[in-house]
Amino acid sequence: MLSGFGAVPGCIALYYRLTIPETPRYTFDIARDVEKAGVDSMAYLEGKSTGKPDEIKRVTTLQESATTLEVPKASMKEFWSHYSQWKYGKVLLGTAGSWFFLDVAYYGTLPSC
Amino acid sequence: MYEVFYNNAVGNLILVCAGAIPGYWVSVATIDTLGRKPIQFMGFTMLTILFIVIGFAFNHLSGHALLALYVLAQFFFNFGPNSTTFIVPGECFPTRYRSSSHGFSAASGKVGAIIAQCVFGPLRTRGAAKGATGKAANPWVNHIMQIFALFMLCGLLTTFLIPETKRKTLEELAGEVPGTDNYDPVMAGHSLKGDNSSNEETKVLEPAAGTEKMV
Repeated sequence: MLSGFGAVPGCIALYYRLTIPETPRYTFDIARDVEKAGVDSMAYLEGKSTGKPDEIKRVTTLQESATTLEVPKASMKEFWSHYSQWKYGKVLLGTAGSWFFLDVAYYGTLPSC
Repeated sequence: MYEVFYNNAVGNLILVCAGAIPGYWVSVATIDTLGRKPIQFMGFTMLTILFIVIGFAFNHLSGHALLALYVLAQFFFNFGPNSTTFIVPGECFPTRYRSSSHGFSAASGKVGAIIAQCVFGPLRTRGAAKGATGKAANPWVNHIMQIFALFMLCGLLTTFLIPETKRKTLEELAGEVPGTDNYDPVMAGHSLKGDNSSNEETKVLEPAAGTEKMV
């Protein structure tokens, strides 16, 4: 019963997660879709959720920029090569480690368990 | 059965209302003035002390004293690492790796939660007589608190590895802004391409430091 009711807010959250707009930071920096990122940022400043870019202009810009900008693919290999540098890896170790140690004690001391 | 659930619910309500909620609001009020790292340090330090007290004085403390210490522990969980471990990984990584890294950190937290349930759950009742109730049902609980104190100390040590992120933009933290402490030409893509536009931008913002790093 109790865990059944727990599914209701879960479904609501899932709906919002599926409909939330992509952040312009990602669209611009990672997906390199310059046209859409620009229109989305303008829409945000006007208080709207997403912009409606001119699709023909967007595709043309994407094709043109494809020759000058290389769009790196996200991969496990790339993730590891970034974090195997101690300078960046230590931050990940710090956040992951402190969250790990915290949760052991936090969930270990809850009275319900 | 009803009694068990009722007592459980009341116990949780007291802990949450007296400890967790005030702790969370103190975090909200101070996270941009004290900063995330000092709050996490302070939280882990206080929790280490609290768990040492609970663990080593467990059999000498009254029920009320134990409750007060548990409430305090809840307060410092939330005015401490429970808030900051969630916030910092959402801020300190560059956009390319941000959500993967936050997910990785959260996942390692879940691993900790599983260990808490699977390892420390059964350990708690170690050496208990069959059908024992109350304190006698959990004779090993003081040792568990001592172990948790050690875990909090480890958390204190891992806090040294994280950067302070208060009042900085995501671009600054990712090392993309020339002239700031975190600036990293490789992450900003400046040293890879070496195009003129970013060179000039750098000169305008921070003439001396910027041009040195560009080479």
